[in-house]
Amino acid sequence: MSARWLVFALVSTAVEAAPPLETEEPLVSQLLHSIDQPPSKGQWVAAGGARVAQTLRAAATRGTLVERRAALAALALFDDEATRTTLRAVVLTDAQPVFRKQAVETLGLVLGPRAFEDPVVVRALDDVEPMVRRAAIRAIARGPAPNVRRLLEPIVAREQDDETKAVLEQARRLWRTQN
Amino acid sequence: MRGSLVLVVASLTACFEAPCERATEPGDLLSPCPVPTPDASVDAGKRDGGLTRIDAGLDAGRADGGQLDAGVEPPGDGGIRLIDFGLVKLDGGLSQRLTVTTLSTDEGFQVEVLGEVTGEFLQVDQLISPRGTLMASGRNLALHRSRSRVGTPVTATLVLESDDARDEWTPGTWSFVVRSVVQSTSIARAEAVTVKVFVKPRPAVVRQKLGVNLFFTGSAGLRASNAATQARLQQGLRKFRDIFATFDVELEAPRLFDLPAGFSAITEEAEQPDAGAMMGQSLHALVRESRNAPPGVNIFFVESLAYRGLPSGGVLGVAGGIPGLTMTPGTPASGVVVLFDSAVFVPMVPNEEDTLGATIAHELGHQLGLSHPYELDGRFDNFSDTPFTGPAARRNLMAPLAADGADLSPLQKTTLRRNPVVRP
Repeated sequence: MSARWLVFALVSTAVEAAPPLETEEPLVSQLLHSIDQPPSKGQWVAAGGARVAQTLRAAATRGTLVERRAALAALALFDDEATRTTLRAVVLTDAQPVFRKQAVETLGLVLGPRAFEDPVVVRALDDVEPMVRRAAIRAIARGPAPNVRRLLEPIVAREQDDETKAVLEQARRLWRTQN
Repeated sequence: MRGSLVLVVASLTACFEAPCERATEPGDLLSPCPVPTPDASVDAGKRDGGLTRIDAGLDAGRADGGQLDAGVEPPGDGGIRLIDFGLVKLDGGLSQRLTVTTLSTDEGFQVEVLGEVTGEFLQVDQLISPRGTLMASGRNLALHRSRSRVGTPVTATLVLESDDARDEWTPGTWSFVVRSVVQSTSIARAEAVTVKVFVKPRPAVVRQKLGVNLFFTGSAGLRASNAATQARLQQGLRKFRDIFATFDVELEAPRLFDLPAGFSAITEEAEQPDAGAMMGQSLHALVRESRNAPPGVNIFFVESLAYRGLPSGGVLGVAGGIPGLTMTPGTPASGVVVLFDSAVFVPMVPNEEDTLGATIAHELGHQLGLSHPYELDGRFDNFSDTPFTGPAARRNLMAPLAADGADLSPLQKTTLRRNPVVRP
């Protein structure tokens, strides 16, 4: 728990110290407002230069709701250890479910079938918000059937949310198919 | 200030306590109504019931090809005339030339083409106006003077302008072909497609109406049963209503539909051959759930919208097409999908506004025929009056980047108003 709050404190400090993204990186800020045409990796680099991944990591923890969500999604194009650390910090510490869900989804995408090995994704199975749990189930379900079953079967009985139960049922069909 | 507050509260009360059967303010929801599932709603067969059905001609050589006989049946639903070409054969990916004859009292028509081959793209092509002007040719959209777009296995084209890019209507006989484009030789071409044309007469009244069907997937806990008290949704619908009111289109009281559990996440664009590998629904499968919806635009709310290889959050909404199939429910292009991943809107910075209502309006702008005025890759739309640089461009509702405006140019408004789903 102390590590979790340490991450939170570091992120909070960074947020307070940083100037608005719109001022600091106007082109990146504009791309973060794309409504239905997600920018390509090339477009991100053209807008933000070589440091664009760093800019997106910063934007993932500050700015408007639209900017933060879009930055968390765009980080899937800039996967490295620093990106994963940012995503994990959001999953563990952010007060808003929308960002925790977004970070889990991006982590699931970059980790692929190995998402079940990530303790932060696994921990999100117990998130208080059903939407975040569903994102974690979807991420983990891409893994090898025995591992998926080991992680998800215990939560089938205790899940109370109907939509989440439906997602678990999808996962169960998937691991049965693979077996 | 006190007076303003009282007015706001009164308005919200009227909204949330509306009796089931009474239409209230457009954009408001009917709270206690029993909510039908799509299967239990209006029979799709009745959708054409109010339309004047006309046999269509297939060959430009036929003098009466597609010609209407408007006096035979009384028009309904705004007098929209359906010209049903039925199943049209494609030879080498190309149909025969199809013709549609329109009157000076019309204001446009929409062609809706349905195929079934995944990976195939259909296009209304070689569109020729009554004056002989080529309005759409090939895949270079910059050359298109109609709203023709290459779609997925279904496509629609909205034709509503004169051939000199003004908004006057050119009556007479129009003709076009349907072209099938496949990206890979491994994809079999469709041998036939279904083609329907909806001709819209010019309405006698300025103010028109738009039917609205809302589909809920349980995203962020949003269901038909709580939609009337869901403050964020209500605020978004009011914003959407206000934007459409700026061009004299009034929203009818929305019809609400709950979808079965499991539809809240979109993980792919199209159905995959190996459906078992998916941990969610495809965009196309979701929008097909509109199959029994009553006439109107279909809006689906989801909590996760993965699209073209990016995780959810990269897009706020997706439209079925430019335009979508607004007159045919149950196809992958029959609605728009909007991200609803938070039950409440929590501003992250001072004065931040929720984008939900503007996103709904933006996606419906596509669905009714509008492109972005400019694209991130430098392309522009085919309107002469849309701004593409500077603050005015950012304030346009159809700007690809969400900003703080909901402006529309005169030609954009004309396009929206002339879609056949918008009715007197």
